Parts: sequence; C-alpha cells; structure tokens
Amino acid sequence: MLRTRFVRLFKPAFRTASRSKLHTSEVPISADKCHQLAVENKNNAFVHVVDHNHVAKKIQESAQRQSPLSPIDGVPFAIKDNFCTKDIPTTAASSMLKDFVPSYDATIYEKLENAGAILIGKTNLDEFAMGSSTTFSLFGATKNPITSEETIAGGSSGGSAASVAEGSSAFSIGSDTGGSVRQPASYCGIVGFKPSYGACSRHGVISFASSLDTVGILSPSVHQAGLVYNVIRGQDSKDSTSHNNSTPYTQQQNHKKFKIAVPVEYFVDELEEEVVKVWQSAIDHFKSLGAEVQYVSLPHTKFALSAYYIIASAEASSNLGRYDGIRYGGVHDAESKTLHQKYISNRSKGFGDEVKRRIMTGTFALSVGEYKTYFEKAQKMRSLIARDFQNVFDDGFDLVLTLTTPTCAIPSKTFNDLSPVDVYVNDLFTVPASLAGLPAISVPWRTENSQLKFAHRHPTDIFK
Amino acid sequence: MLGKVFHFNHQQIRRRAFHVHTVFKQEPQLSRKDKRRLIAKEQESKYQIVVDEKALKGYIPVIGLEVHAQITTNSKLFSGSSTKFNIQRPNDHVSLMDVAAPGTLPVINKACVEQAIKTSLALSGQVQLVSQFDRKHYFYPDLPHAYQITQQFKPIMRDGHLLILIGQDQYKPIRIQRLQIEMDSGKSIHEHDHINSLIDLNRAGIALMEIVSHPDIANSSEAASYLKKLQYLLRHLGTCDGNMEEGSLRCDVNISVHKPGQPYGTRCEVKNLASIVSVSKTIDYEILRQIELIESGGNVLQETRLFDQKLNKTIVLRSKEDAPDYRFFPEPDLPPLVVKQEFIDQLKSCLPESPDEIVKRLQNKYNLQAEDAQLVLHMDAVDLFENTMSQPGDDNRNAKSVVNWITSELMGLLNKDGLSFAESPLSVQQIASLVDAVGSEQVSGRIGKQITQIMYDESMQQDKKQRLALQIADEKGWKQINDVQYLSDICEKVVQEGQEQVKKVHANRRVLGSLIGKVMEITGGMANPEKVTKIMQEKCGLQ
Repeated sequence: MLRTRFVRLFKPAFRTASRSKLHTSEVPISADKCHQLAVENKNNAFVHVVDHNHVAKKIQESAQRQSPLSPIDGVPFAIKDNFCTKDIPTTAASSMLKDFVPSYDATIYEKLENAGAILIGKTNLDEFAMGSSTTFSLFGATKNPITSEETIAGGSSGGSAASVAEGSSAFSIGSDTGGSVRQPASYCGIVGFKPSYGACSRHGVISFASSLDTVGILSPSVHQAGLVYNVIRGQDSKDSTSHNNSTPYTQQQNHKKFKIAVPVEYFVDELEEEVVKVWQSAIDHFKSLGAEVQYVSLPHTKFALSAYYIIASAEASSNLGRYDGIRYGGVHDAESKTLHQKYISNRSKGFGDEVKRRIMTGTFALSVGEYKTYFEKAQKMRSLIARDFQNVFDDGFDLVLTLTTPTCAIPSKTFNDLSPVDVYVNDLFTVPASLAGLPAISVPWRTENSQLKFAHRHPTDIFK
Repeated sequence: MLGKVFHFNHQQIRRRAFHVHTVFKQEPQLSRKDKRRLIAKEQESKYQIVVDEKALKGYIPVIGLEVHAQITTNSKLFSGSSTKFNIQRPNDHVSLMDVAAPGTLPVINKACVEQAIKTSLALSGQVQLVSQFDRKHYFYPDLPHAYQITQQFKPIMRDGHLLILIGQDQYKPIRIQRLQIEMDSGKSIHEHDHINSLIDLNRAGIALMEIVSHPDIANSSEAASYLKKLQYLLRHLGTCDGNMEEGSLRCDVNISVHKPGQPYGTRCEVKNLASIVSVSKTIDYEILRQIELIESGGNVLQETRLFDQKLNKTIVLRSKEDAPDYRFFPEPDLPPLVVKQEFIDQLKSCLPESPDEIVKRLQNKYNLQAEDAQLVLHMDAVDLFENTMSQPGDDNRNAKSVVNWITSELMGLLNKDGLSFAESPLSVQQIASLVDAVGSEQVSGRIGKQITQIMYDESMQQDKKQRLALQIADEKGWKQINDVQYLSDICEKVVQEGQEQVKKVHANRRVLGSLIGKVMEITGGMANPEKVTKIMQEKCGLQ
C-alpha cells in the first residue's frame, strides 16, 4: 500500500517542482513591494494584510534610524495567524476565532518589532495548525507559488512558506508541532528551521500541542534564518518551558570534520531508486566536503508517527477545551436552551472536521479506560525515540541527515482524495525530531530538485 | 441591672446600624461578623442526631477528609493577578491567563510553593523534591480553561500527619496522604438573574492546597477536632486564613461503614461543606443513613452527595455512572516542579512554633491540662492567655482561672457580637485585674461576671473607658466582705434573731442555707459566702 502511494505522489512532484524565483540574501527586498504582493495575495498566503500607512510609517522610521536596531531592521516579514498580535485579528484560521482580536502581543512578535522588522501581514494555516496542507482553513487553501501545476503549499505554515516563496516577505514565522514549518518549506523550496523545543517563547502562540509546539523560521537561506533566530531565541518569563540553553547562530565557517548519521529506518522499502539517489547525492556531497557519513539505527522510528498523533491529539483536545463559542468572538448559538446544548452546538459548528477528528482522538486517548493503553505508551515511545537520537549523538555524530518528506509537493487534486491517515504519513520524517525536542532544519537540495532535511544537534541544545 | 440595659441598647444600635448598611449597599452581603454570629447560632442549635453505641449497631465508620485551603498570597498561582479583591466588584482582578486567553501560559508563583512547603513541613510530611502539575478536565463556565491545573500524579507532599486530642492527654494521629497545589475555579452566580448565570472570575486561578487525609477518622467529633486543629495550624503558619464561611477553607468528606472483620464498605463523598458544624452533622447523618440502608437489606451506592443545611440531611448530587471522566494528564505547559533540599531546610528553620509545641509549652509553663491548653489554642487565645498571665499583679495567678474567664465569660460576650479574641475590646490588664480580684476573693465570682459585662459594655462605648475590676467594684460598692470579725457579728445577730431555726439546723441542713441567705441579704450580697458558711456552721455547732 505504501508503495503505490509513494509512486503516485512522487512522480508528479518531480515533474512540477521546478525552482524558479528564489531570492537571495544579496538582493534587498523592499517592504513596499512585499506589501503590494501581499495585497494581491495571488496564492492566498495572507489572511490579513497590515494597513499600508502603517507599513509606510515603519519603513520611514527604519530608514531614519542612524544605526539599525538589528540585522533585520527594516526587513519585511509575515507571521502565521496563530501568533497573537495586539489589535490585529488572530484567527488560527478557525471560525471559532473569526472575530478574535488579541489585546496583547506574542513574545516573538514583540521581539521582531523591537528589532525593527516590519510586519506585512498574517499568513494562512490549517485550522489551529492541525494539518500539513494549508487546505483546512477558514480562508480556503493556500497555493504553492513555485509549482507550475497546482499543488498544495504544505502546512500547517503553508501561508508563511508561500509568502517567502512568492516574495511577499523576506522571511516569515511559523509554528512547528510535527513538521509544520519544515514540510511547507520543503514543498515551497525554501529553508524551514525548527529550533529546539523551548528555545523560543510560545507565549502568545495559540496552543495546539504544548509539549511539541515550537516557533519556526521560514526564509530563503540558512543565513537569514540564523539572523532571525538570534533575534527571537531566548528564555521568556511568560513561558515556563522556554530556556536559554540554545546556541546562537554564528556565521563562522566550521571546518571541523563533520560526522553525519544516516538512519537506516528512514529508508522505507518502498522508496524509489530515484529518490534514494537524491538522498545519496546529498550524502556524497557531504563526503566530498570531508565529512564522515555512517549509517545508524534509530530503532524506535516506526513508533514515531503513532506516538506523535496520540500525544499531539491528546494535548490538542485539552488546549481546545476553552473554545466554547461564547468567549473570544466567533460562533454564538442563541437557539440552544441549555448550557450543554450550547457547548455541543458551538463546538460542532465552530471547529472544522480535521480539528474535531483530533479532539475526539485525543479525548479518547486520555479517557479513563484508554490512558494506559494509548497516552502512557505513547509517552514511553517518545522517551525511547529521544534516547535513540541521544545514543547517536553520544556516539559522536554531529547531525542526522534525512529527507524532510517522503514526497514533493502533492497536487491539490490528489491531495483531496487522500484519507486522513494517508495525510498523516506525510509527517513520517518530521515528527521524530519534534518528539525528541531536537532542532531540525529543512534545506532545498537544488541539484536534484528534491528537498532534504537535517535534524542536527547543538551540543547544549538537548530538549528539556 | 444597669449593665443589662446598656447591653440591650447597644445591641439595638448595632442592629439599626446594620440595617442602614444594607439599605445603601447595592448587593446586600453579610458582614464577616454577622456570618460568624449566624454560625455561632447554628452551633448553639442542638444536634438532632445522636450517634452512640446503640445507634452504631456494631458498625465501624471510616471517614477521610479532603480539605481545600486557599493559599494566602498576594497574587494568584499562575498569573500576576492580585488575590485581594472586593466581593462587590466581580471580574476586577482577572488577567489574560485567568480568562484562558488564547496563547497565554501558566507561570508558577514561587510564593505559593513556599506556602505549600511550609504547610507540608508543619504537617510533618515528606516534601517531594520533584512534583508535577496535571490537568483535570471538565466543562463549566467558571472554569475558563476547561481544565484545572492540579497535582494528581506527583503531589508536592506525601505522608504527613496531624495529632488530635481525643481524651484526657490522649492523642490520635490522623495520617495525611498528600498535599497538592492546584488552582481554584471562578464563581457562578445563579441568584442574580432569572435567566442567565453570571460568572465572576476573581477567584479563578487562586492557589489552593488540597490536603487529603487517610480514612483514619472514626466519628464526627474526631473530624471536628481534625478540622479545628488544621484550621488553627494554617492560620498559625499564615498559609491560609482558614475562614470556612468565606470559602477559603472547604471540606469534602468520604464516609463508609462496615462490620468488624469485614472489608471497608462502599463510600460516599459529600462535597463542599462550609462549616465544621456541617461536617459533623453530615458525618452523623451519613453514618446512620448508611447503617439503616444496610440493615434494611439495601446497598450503599458509590455516589457524590451534598449536605442540605435546611433539611439537615445529605442528598444525591450524582451517582458513580454520572461521575465525570477528568482525563488527567501531565500539564505540558509547566516543567516538573523541582525544589532544592536547601530551600526546604531554609523554610523549615523559619517555621513558627508548632501547635503541638505550644500545647506542650502551655502545659509545662503554666501547669495547664492538655484539654485546657488545646482549648486556648483552638480558640485562638494563646496570645491573650499568655499576655494576661504575664500582667503584673498576682504572682500566683491561677492559669486555669484565666482560661476559664477567657474561654467562657469573655468568649460568651464576644460570640454575641460575632467578635474574635483579636477583636476583643477588653485589655489584658482588665482581664488580669478581674482574675486577680476574684482570685484574691475581693469580689465574688458572681460579681466578677457582672464586672466583665460592665467592662465589655464600657469599652464598646465611644470613649472606651477601660477601668480595672476593683475600680468598678469600688464604685459600685461590690467589694466582697471578707472581714471575719464583721461577718461574725452579723452572723451572731442573725443567730440571735432566729433561735427557732438554729434549733432545726441539726435536723435539716437546708435551714443553714436560709440563715446564710439572711446574712447575704443584710450585706447586700457582698459577704464572702464561703466565710459566712464557715462562721455560721461554727455558730450553730456544726463542723
């Protein structure tokens, strides 16, 4: 079964993923131009664009500054619509929050503003960041800007990825719970960086799965992601799970001989020879640079996907309990006579199918009879998966090199026919790093037009 | 008599003042004093149920208590909101975290942890170096997150105990399973509006300690002692104000009954008891209800019940089948709570003298009995007692008398006005002067009581006169006549005039009483009755 899916999904992806307009760090991006593209919103990357006067004012302020506030002063950016922005609607692409206007700023947004970066708008996502396609959105699907055939942008930070790819922002901020930054970055041909769990504050990020949620960066290059990372990283007194143990980005070229691990479990039997070749070419490339590449075993990888979906859904079912349709704007059912009826009606109407599916899965996994069977086992698997990685790093490896996704961007038509579980399989290669709390970065592998992911590790950066 | 009149007026004035007060307030709220007065009244009302050997029919009750104590701190458990809110202004002290605004996260308040550790140490419990928060889920409008953050799996304290006094110098340890930190919910107000319920989130997020006992309690009086002791301990530590009537201390009771040698019976839980009296009544009622049920061939069902104060009985809230599935799981927004041993040691070294130590000290220093020492402790009168004892005057002031005057006379007066000892208008000098005056026989016990009343009424007046006992006795001419010669003369006179009666004394001892009565009448009741009795016995040839 896996085999047919991979064949079906890979072929069109290879045909369409022709990379064209990737901007480089040398070419400065005008915030004005970005704003214009965002208003155009050709690919439905944006759900809200900041008022032009406001952007113009910010551009002027930035230009007038004697010395820039930071390397990203004056740089236009977009932020996923699940980050709270004061006085700017924040919907998480859910009708439950369609009228919600936060009264405070997410820490990350505050840091970017203080660094002089200019917000262009809020980007589209799968409702409450649950999905890997940016099709489950109150505002409709985001299109992939870089493919000639219509394909999905990936998700859930699809709007953020599309925005960088189409040039309507120099970088963008997304959230990554199980691959939501890395996967759309890969589909849209850009860099997607998920820092260690806790390296960036989650305060003001609408929670999906608290123990997995991380803030991620999407940008055209690794260097740019690094610059942004240095601005947003660090402990926040408003997020108890944040810490200062992460290593800041430095441009320094590390000439040390890298030791790279390639996990055999990621070579799924069904992978086509062609795909293996792409991966192989990256491996060869690193070898040619003098790196030592070895095959290793991450024996618990096969449990990652189930563990992830149990834990993420369980936490989601809890985090989304607060949406009763009475507070924060959104649906309000005046018909219901009793409180209970109102809850049922509001929550049935206010959440989309995918969100409801996960709430129900999560509620089940936490219920009295099932907790031990599902949640507790998933937690155990999670620690084993983390230990797998730890063992590899203890053996002196610097990074683990894998594919980001089993496929390139999926055509929208094909995607619509997939069952939920088929969609979940897309996250196969991204969830292990999330479960282990490890930093991971997806970078485009241009020679072969496929995307690669590095799950790499900073020595001091192990999950808390 | 004068005292009585004053007292009455005084009450009238107070009552009127309260009436005016309620007319002007938008939302009539019972003042703390009035609530206490009501509770004092409730305490006076007689128990309708007696649980004695006969009623128990050989069954053994097994009782455990879960106490929720609001932690005294300036701000809430996970948000910076103040805990000092005015009951008249709902939703006044509410932060984004308290309303579960999307994106907000909990951050633990160190002061709450400190208070919980202090309490744990005072309960002789094992403070856990690593504890953890969990989420407990249920949907209700006054719980904005749809979950309560609590410590289900790894509480901050395990294995404590509290000693309760169950008889003459006889203590019983009640083991405490756990103490866990958790957050309080908001309040739903249903009375205000016919259609809508209103939500006040001022209380939402306030820190609670849930203190869970083992089922070591055997009856309602042990439960009452446990609660009183715990209440005292919390107040003493300053970790909870212990006011049950205001909801800062609430109690759930678990009760079952079984025959000796048989396994424990099915237990019922009675939730949300707001006074020690309700707890006692609940336990008595439940014990008898369960015994009757079993005796009549029925089965006790595992259910959650409520105590109806009007009906003095418990009623079913929900059965086991309807019990909510709380779906506990570790709170992912908070890392495990790790405390260092040094931190615990530091708190330990700063703990005040424990109640058990105080009782021991009172016993040793003042030669009090355990019951009296405990009484002083539970009535929150340790300071008053010790200050009274240390007043100049009688060097051999009798500690037991001081306890009696404080805990019966003064307490009685204060209770009528719903005042606590801390709010007592009488100074320790006054109390000491009273005890000394009676102790040295300068006034009689009866007169002492009247003087107390006068002192009380005077100090409630605006000018707050604080006269000592002998000043009042002098003014009123209430000093006891102890002059043996003088008394002897009067007795002689009475004997002379009542020769007929004297003859009957040997046959009927009661006649002596009437002779003494005459002496008392002549002296205006001021003669020392003991001395008069002694003289009179001699005069009549009785020894």
